[in-house]
Amino acid sequence: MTVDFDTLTPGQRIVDKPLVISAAVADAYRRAVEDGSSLDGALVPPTAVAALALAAVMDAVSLPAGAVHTAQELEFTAPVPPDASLQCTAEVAQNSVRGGARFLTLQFQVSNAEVVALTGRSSILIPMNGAEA
Amino acid sequence: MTAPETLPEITHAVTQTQVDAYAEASGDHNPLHTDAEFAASTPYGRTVAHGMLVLAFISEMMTNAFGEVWASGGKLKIRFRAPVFPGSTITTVGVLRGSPTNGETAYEVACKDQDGQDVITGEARVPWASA
Repeated sequence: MTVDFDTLTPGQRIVDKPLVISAAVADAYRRAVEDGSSLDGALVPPTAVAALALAAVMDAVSLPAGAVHTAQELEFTAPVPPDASLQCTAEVAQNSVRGGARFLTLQFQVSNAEVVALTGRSSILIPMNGAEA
Repeated sequence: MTAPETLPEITHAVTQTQVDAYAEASGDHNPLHTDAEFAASTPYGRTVAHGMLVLAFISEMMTNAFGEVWASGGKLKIRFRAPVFPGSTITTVGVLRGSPTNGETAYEVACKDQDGQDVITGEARVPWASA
């Protein structure tokens, strides 16, 4: 899907979809980041929830290959167990163009049975000419 | 319990294998991270690790220090300052920033590469008021 970034407006909902993080996916994430933390294995690492939600958000707007993640805010408000039925929502917070690049800020939220587990705000720089980052 | 002045460092050697595994686990398949040919056509000239992969090292540090308190009440606000290339060695830093405010303790956090360059800088807050 091709997204016309000019049409994205602040407040526009871009994601509202279920998200389930299985124990296997959580384990794959732990292995990938070499997570040696002391967090109870019965919980999904909070950054795994953020990463998977962010992937869904970026997929929704079909970011071009050269897009660069420049900043990130995260707030963890409740731990997430594997296989929980989560709901991921996201909206456009900012969309502006200057200096030959688009600056897109997307905010997202992951809820578990109506309880907010995580909120995030991602700043993305999109070069305006082709795939150059 | 008093919040520690500095948090124990964590060091990770970032490899392309790890970046590829992260792409699979997270679903972030931007070819900038995994496709050497594509990455060679960008100003970076080679693949770059996902920012969220490196960010996970800070969360690991915070989890080691504060356990589930981090997972249920932590806040993180960071900027990605420089690309991390496979082959880099990343070390986390966490330094207490003043006294607790509104029941939260703040840390200045960073990830540094093997040359001491900041690749991530920012602040982490955790609901931890010293007893």
